[in-house]
Amino acid sequence: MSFLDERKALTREKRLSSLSHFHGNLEALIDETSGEEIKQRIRTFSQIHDDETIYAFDVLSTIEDAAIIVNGSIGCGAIGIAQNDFENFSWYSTNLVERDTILGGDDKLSEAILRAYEEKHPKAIFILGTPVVAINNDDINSVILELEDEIGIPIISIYTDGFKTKTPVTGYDIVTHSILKYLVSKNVDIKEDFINIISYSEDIEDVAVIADIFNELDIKFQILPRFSNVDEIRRASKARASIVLNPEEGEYLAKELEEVFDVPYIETDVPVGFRGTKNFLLKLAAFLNIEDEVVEYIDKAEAELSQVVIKDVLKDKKIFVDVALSRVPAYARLFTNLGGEVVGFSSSFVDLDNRKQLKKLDFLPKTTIAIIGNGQQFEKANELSKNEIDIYFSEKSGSSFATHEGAVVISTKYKVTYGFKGVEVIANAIKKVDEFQEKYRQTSSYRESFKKRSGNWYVKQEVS
Amino acid sequence: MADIIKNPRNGCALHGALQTVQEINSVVPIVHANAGCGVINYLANSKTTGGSARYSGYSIPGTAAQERHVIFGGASRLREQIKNTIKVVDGALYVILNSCESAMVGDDVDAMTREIVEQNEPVVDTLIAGFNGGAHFGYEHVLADVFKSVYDVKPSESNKNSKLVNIFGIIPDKDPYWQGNLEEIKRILKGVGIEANVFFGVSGGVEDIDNAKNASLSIVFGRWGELPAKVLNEKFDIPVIQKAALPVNALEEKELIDEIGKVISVDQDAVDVFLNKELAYESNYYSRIRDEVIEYAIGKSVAIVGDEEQVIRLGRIAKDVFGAKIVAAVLTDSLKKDEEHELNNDDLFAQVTTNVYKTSDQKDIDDIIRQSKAELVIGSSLEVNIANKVGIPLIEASYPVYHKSILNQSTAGIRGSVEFVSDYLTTIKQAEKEKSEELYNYLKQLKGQKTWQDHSSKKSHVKQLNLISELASRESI
Repeated sequence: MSFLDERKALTREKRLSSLSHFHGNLEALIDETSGEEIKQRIRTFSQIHDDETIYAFDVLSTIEDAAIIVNGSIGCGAIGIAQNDFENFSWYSTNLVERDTILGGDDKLSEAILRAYEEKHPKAIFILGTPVVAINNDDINSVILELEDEIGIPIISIYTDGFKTKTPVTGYDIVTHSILKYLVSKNVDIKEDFINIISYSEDIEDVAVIADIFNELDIKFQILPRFSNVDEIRRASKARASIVLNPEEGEYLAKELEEVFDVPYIETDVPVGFRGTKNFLLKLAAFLNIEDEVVEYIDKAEAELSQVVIKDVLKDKKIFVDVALSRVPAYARLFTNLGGEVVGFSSSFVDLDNRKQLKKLDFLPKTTIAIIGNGQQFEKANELSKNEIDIYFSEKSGSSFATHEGAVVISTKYKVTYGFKGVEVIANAIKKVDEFQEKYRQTSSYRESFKKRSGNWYVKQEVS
Repeated sequence: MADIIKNPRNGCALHGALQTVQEINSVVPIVHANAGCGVINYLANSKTTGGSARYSGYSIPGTAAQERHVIFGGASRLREQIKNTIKVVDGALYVILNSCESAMVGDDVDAMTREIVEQNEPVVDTLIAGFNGGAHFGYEHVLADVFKSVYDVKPSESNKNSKLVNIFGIIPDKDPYWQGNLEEIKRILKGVGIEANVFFGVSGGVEDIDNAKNASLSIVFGRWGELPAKVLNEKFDIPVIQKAALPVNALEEKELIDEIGKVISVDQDAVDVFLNKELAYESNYYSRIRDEVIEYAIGKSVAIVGDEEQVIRLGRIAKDVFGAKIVAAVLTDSLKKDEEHELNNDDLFAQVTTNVYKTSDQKDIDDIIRQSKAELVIGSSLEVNIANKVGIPLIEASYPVYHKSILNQSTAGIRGSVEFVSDYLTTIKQAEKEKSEELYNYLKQLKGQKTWQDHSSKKSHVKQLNLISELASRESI
């Protein structure tokens, strides 16, 4: 059954039993997530982290001819400052104040919609929900119904609220649900010769690397919903097939396009690492019947990479990997192949879909540290310090805390990580690892008494 | 009623309170909100970069409130979080920050704070919610709330210091040059034998909070420091001096020191020596640029966008150093609840410009700049688009400033003013260079046409060519 029958997307917890609170080892995590449902846990001490509103805004802000209204207090509207300052990027805040929390903010929302329409002439308007509106239970749909006919473009409510899910990727699901329901063309009789490349969180550098490969192999494509426009999103149902850059984020869209609009979904690995990129391309090639060209392309890339990758460069190094679960196997394998010892990993969430990644970690010891959580640097600090880890490899912001725990940080922020180019960039980053980070090493922010305790001290079973 | 805002730039009261607390060394914020409220502030500020404090971003302890806390209340979750924060995170003072969510639900934050304080832990709270105001409001209120209760929960020495003053009104991050400006104020006061409690940045910290009650004076620059100064005045009888803006020249530094001298004793000889040096510094640099100021006709028509204090400060420099005409002043700091403030700058603005606007809406700002016929904008990175459209240069000096790392640079005091003057000149020179290049390209384009070729034999072009060949031959000799 398609989830599109629902008015809004279910949270990851409800749809896929997503878990974002776990601290133990690989064996325990596999055990914990192997049933039909994953038991929820909580943290009795936590640090602030992204929520689904931030993720939803992030992807919407890259849809070039849409307008975004952040329906909430002025602070929620400040999220726009954090986005890339693309030329002419703008957004609106309904700027709800105390009075609006009592009397409702419907009038302001109407005013914002009309203003956004008049000033930006967008092809669609997205209204992003925030905690104030959710708690107040403002009637967004009445406002939409009243104005949609008047202005003649889709006005789409993004049902985020900031507190109903612990899994921020739910924000991507909510955006996906809304665009599938209200934007994607229902006329699917004629398919066209292009592939949907589905991207939600990738930086422009990574998307460009994949686009380059498609271009080189002469495969027509469009990217969505990130870095897209409204017409491209409409055309998604006419694609020959869809492929997803990070399945744990984009599979929802690909599967619904397949189920509802008959657009085949080419299931692959994330194109990270040599093996990941190779699998990604071979699956694509098999679908398009262009295996020979792709194999030739891969062989050429392999020959070039063999010049860059140095065996045993990580010999005697203990490494902790802090990346999306879908990318953990690729990095763990790469570092193992380079002679390193991957002693732990951390990811934001595990659910019934992406748990398959854990099985790909069969080359790691069962005792490998496994932390599941959004941010929660204190738990990572505990393990980094206790296990005297040499390298903290992270794709997260604010990773410098690891230097205080004695590790050297390799950050993938602002680096290409996808495709064969990504392998080269990461291999070079590893070669450059040195002790200059000593300069930034300070006293730890966390008490020694805490770091002597078990890292899972504040993770508890949820009692309902 | 506040209106819809396009490109809101300043964040909410929670954001203001959070960025204030996190910049006081050894003070740990605890955010009682849903997970992302505090993160938004971090993401916005990390884009604008003045570096980040130790307890900022994803390291900030917070309740990450969930639906159950909205339905059943989040007070018990907060109690648990406070207790465990003290066990995990090493801090000298913990400040609990409230949010829209918790305020709407009606969590008894105060009761949770009292409970932990009874266990002799140094914890204070502020009850302002995001929707109560903007970031500037948050700065002012969190400091006021800290001073109201910190001395009851955290033991500190009471020892009046006749040379110590508290500095308020320089808001972390909202003034992109806050670190350098605090250092500059500290330098000026030190120059005349006065110690400054600046609370934030390289020489600030929780010790300044402890010592604030021992100060002999509080100085408020702008309006956004009135409240904490008032609290210290009521509790500890500390007098207050309020200035519309930070000083930008030797005369204003003198005025400030003279005013301080009326409240606390300063050594007049030391003051004279210091001010003479300041004047010499100012005169030296400003005399060096006299030709450029005159030849570039640098006294442009200027539109300034930023916090009220910044607009006054930067407007004064532009006017006094370059003879600029301020054709529009746009005040972007949230002026909600302004009835709380005593400062009235109407007369001051009347001397600078008659076109004063209060808005942070991007469309309003763009329209004001367009209609002002300004030749130069002093504003934030959000004014890049309009400056490009109108074809005028922009000096990015108010929040947010993108793609520029601002650490100890300053735009206040003599040294900061010289830095700003240098930026101003650089911007004008670059704009002139771009204009020349455009004209050159235009001429090149014309040259390709017959009509230009007809003119090309005329002397100015030929003369130029001769000059170049002469130069080449001289070099070869």
